[in-house]
Amino acid sequence: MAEGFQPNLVGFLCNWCSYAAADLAGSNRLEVPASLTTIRVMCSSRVNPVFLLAAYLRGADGILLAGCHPGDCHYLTGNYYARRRFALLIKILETFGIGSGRFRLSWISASEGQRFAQVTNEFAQSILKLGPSPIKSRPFLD
Amino acid sequence: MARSKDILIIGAGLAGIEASLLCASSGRKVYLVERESYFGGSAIKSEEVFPLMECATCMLAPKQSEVLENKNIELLTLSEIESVTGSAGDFEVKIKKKARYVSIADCIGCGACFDPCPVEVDNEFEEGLTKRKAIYIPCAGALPNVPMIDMTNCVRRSGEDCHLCQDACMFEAIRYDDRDEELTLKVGAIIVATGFRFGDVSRFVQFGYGKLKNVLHAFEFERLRASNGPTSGEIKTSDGRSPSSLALIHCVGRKEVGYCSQICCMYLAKFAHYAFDKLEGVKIYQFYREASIPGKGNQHFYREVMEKGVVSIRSDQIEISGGDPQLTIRYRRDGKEESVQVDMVILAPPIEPHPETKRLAELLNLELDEFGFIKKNGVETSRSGIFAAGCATGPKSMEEVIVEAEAAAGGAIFITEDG
Repeated sequence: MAEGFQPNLVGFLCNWCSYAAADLAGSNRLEVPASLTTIRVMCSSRVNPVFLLAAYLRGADGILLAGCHPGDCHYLTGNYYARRRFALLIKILETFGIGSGRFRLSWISASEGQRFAQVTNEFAQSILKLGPSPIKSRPFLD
Repeated sequence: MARSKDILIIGAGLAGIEASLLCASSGRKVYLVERESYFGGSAIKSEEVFPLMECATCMLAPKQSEVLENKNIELLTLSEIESVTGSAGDFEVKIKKKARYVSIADCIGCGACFDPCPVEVDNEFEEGLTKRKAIYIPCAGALPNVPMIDMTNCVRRSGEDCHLCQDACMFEAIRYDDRDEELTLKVGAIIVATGFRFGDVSRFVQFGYGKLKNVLHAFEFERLRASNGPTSGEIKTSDGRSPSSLALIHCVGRKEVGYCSQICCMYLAKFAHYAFDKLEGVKIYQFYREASIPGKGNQHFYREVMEKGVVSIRSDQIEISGGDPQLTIRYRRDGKEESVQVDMVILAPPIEPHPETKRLAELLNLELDEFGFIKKNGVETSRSGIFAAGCATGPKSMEEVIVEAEAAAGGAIFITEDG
């Protein structure tokens, strides 16, 4: 593991549930990883897998995608689409040598501030163990 | 005199929020008046809502932030109506806005002021299950995320020169010199959405509420399950055990108030769902006379929960005793005396009009029905230009509240239309 490694984390959060949970974690004064960059999207299914690949190529060590619990999607079925889409993406991540451990899909409802903090901290810990993403050190990708 | 197109909405619960968003989207200026320091009403106490068991915060929080961000809506918290004069199209309303002692503009909601406060009192929002300070927000996630100082409990009231919260605040948001203000508004229409409260169940002595431990009313149980509640969503008895059996008591006080509160059968089914979800191997009994499951989606949910193993006992003359630690429920079924032992009892209290409804009805000169709810003629009340929505007009589910709020908003928009 690299000295003083601070993982670059990106969180795509759905507007209706997980982004509100992040807000709640904040007002509960819970600690979340400082290196987590959150991006609000209207739905977890709004996230094109290409966004994730682009983020990895630009230096993300881990990406979290969080949406409403199955059955609770504001658009009824968006999170099911996301789940299917990212089940495929995980295979691509393995093939590319990024590793499926650098991606996490999680369901966090708006009242689960505690869970938001727990998921992000656990994820940060597991990325810390994995070390820096191999893909960002490859010169030909620049 | 020019007619006003602005709309006043009294009560910022689910109905008030829904109506104000609709009025604002048609370009009306909306004044949304709320007597508490936070808004969202009774609905924000819930963790999940039936029949689809959607997360309640997921439904409400985006609506609440829309209200806060909408330029056409002015939310007046800690405010009460003082007087209303005039008639439809031209009301003059006096509002008393109580001091919050914390500047909404400067506070960032960091909560650094809570810890140093020396006062500890019961938190009303959590049904007294937790303590709060004299400077507080009722629960995590309450909006606006700005605390208030409760001056009846603050030590400054007794003349002490305490300024611990002011010292802790890095943004100089605490204003001890804040004073109550009086505002005068001109509006064209008024929507009353003052909601309900649960009737006091300690008056029905046979259930032992208030005397026996682990006899809870519906909101107390709801807060136990709430992720942002006193136990972070873990259902625990008063001595911290996980209950292995629960009893749900329907229709508490129905005979006395003289009407069915309509939503209890459904939320008790929801509570059974919570318990099956959280407590492995839990035994659930429900004591009822008649089940009322109206609505298209509800029957399915109710049946699903019942099939998980709720023991339904059609009974009367229920009496609860014991509590050390188990509670004994004695009841009559088919003329025979029987009894069971449980760890926790949840009562479904009658839904009663909020006390504010009565005061407002006198102020606004509105007719009430025999139970104290606001009388309606279509969407309008007995006074032209004043509309009513939500549980202020009678017990109803959230779905119906939203429909009624939108209808009232439609009425208010219509009568303030030009020409």
